Amino acid sequence: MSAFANPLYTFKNFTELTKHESEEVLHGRNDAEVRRWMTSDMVITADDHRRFMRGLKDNPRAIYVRIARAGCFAGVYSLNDLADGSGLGGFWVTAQTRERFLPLNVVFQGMDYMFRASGVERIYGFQKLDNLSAMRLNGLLGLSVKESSTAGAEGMQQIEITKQQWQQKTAQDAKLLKLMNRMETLNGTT
Amino acid sequence: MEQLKKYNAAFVEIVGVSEDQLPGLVYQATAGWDSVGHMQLMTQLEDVFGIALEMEDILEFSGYEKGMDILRKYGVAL
Repeated sequence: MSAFANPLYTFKNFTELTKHESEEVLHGRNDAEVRRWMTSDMVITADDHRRFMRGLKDNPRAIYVRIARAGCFAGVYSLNDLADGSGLGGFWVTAQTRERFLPLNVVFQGMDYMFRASGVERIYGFQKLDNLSAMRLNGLLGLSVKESSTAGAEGMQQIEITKQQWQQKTAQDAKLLKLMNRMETLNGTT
Repeated sequence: MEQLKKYNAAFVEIVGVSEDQLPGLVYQATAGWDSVGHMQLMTQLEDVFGIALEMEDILEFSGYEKGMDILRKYGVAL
């Protein structure tokens, strides 16, 4: 078992959420701080949210997972455009996760779950060059800039990590482990 | 003086500002001092000064000067 494994974290596919859990996701996704960094900052309506959730059941190219810490909704990790063992990663975390200084831990657990459970061999993404918080987070998580990247709009950068690189990271990165464990200890089990 | 240099160096490295920008600097005033940056800063200060901060102090560590007051409680001579 990885030193990063933490039973406080649980994961649930969006296709299996209860009504309450689904509403929590919609509420969290509409948080202004979350919308600020999305492709569109529009507020998502309840109807649009329901349509999106229903659509996931028939979409083999996307996986969305609700991450909970100690039973409390903490964030979302998603893979889109799944093809040839690769998926476009995305995430957001709740206000409470930010307030408790746990974004790194929550996103890490989301990525780790995806590498273990989805069968994906490579996660890639695009980061906005003006989103320094995301760039720092991605760097800590081991996502590196794809040098030959031609995709993505101006002001964006393509990043990626393979499952092998992830496994090496989770076996060797003592500094990251220490950082994450410190925050877990401070936050306790609630 | 040596302790202050170490304190400032942690901010410069983690938050990504220059030393002359430190006075008056508060949490979330710059992109480098977000929640993840805060976490990194706290663990860096713990390592540098050999202390273990309480959660309450991590939450109250709201600015450069406030952080000095907090570290003094742990015996760091700033």
